[in-house]
Amino acid sequence: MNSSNTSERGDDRDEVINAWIDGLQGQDSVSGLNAAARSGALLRQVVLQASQDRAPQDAAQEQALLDRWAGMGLLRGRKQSSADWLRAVWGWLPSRGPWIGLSTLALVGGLGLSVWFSDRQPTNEQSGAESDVSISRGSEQPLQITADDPSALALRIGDVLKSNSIPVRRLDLPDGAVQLQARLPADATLARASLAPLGIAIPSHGRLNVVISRTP
Amino acid sequence: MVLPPRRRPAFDSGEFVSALGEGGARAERAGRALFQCYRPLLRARFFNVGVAAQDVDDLVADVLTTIVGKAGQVRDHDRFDAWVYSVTSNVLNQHWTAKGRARDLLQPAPGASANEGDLLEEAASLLDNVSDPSVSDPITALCLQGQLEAFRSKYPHRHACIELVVLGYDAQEIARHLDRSYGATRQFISQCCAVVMQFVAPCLEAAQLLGRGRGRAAAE
Repeated sequence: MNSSNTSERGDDRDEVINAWIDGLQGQDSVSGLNAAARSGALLRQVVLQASQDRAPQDAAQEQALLDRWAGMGLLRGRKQSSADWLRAVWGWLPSRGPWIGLSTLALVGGLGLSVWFSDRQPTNEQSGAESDVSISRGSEQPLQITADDPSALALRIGDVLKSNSIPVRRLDLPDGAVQLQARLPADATLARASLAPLGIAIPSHGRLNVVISRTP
Repeated sequence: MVLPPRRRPAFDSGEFVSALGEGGARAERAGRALFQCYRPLLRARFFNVGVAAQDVDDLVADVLTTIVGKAGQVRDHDRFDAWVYSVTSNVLNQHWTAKGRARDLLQPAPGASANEGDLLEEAASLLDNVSDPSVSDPITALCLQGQLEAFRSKYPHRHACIELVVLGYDAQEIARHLDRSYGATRQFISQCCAVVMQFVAPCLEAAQLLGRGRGRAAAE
């Protein structure tokens, strides 16, 4: 007797909770008389009103996050990586005959080995064939500019970069020349704009590599 | 005031990953969909485990940024939700480590109250004598908004949970993200409703008195 009463009471509570949740979720079925559902519906109205009042802040937060992702290059799309190619080949192989599969694997392996060996050949830079020459990575040469006082100009450029929290490397070269190296993030528009009047144009890849020599 | 019906923000993990791979405007749309769908869930979880209110939005941003950055690694889209859960757990662990506090100390006690049904019935009865149980009366509306704000600042985890239900997330989904069973989640939702009703009760009582006063004046 007691247990059946308890279970009936439990069922009643379940119904009340269900009605509340239905009301909160704005279900059509709560338009009737159930007080719990009406309370839930009222609460829904108040919560929605409050969330609408906060909508501009939420939108600003959303936009700030999207800008952050864009600055990090996360929305630029993904290039096919070597792992993707391998996955594609792996998915294709089982559908072909065993000989085609094996020969394809051998071909891919051979190509991989040849690339690996070619990477291990010493380059001019690594072998030190021209060790007395300043070599920048790749074929790109540093930007050459002249100034009456290279050190002062380098200081000004350095200040601009540091004020934008961009680390800069300074090398003092012979004859009073100064070399500056830095990497500007894509979103460092203020730094780019501040460097332009100083005669520094930053390439799209963001690497700054400049040699300031004394005006002859 | 008529408020538009709200639906749970739509999100398709397969579409999200492919849009991010393509980049551009489609990726941006996918990012917005991710934000709108997962932000309420993540906020609810962080509040629920006791993260300080001023840290919650930063942690949400960290989780979403990790998801956008690593979404390309997801192979099984059916497990996307579980992956989000594990990313969130990692971010939480890092947060606790950085704070140098024991996580266990901050776990709120699970709701042990068994009489939430009674509380809800009691709260619902407040509406019985209110002639216009809506927010159309401006004074009642102001009162309700103020009390809801008080509730939100005192019980951010309960408020976040109620907001999830209002936004259309089902109890099953909320349970997954709050790391509770389905039954416990339903009980938690009802407790949240009972507590918020205690906050809004003074407004409803005032509306009740106001309604009676108006009725009497009309009769005279």
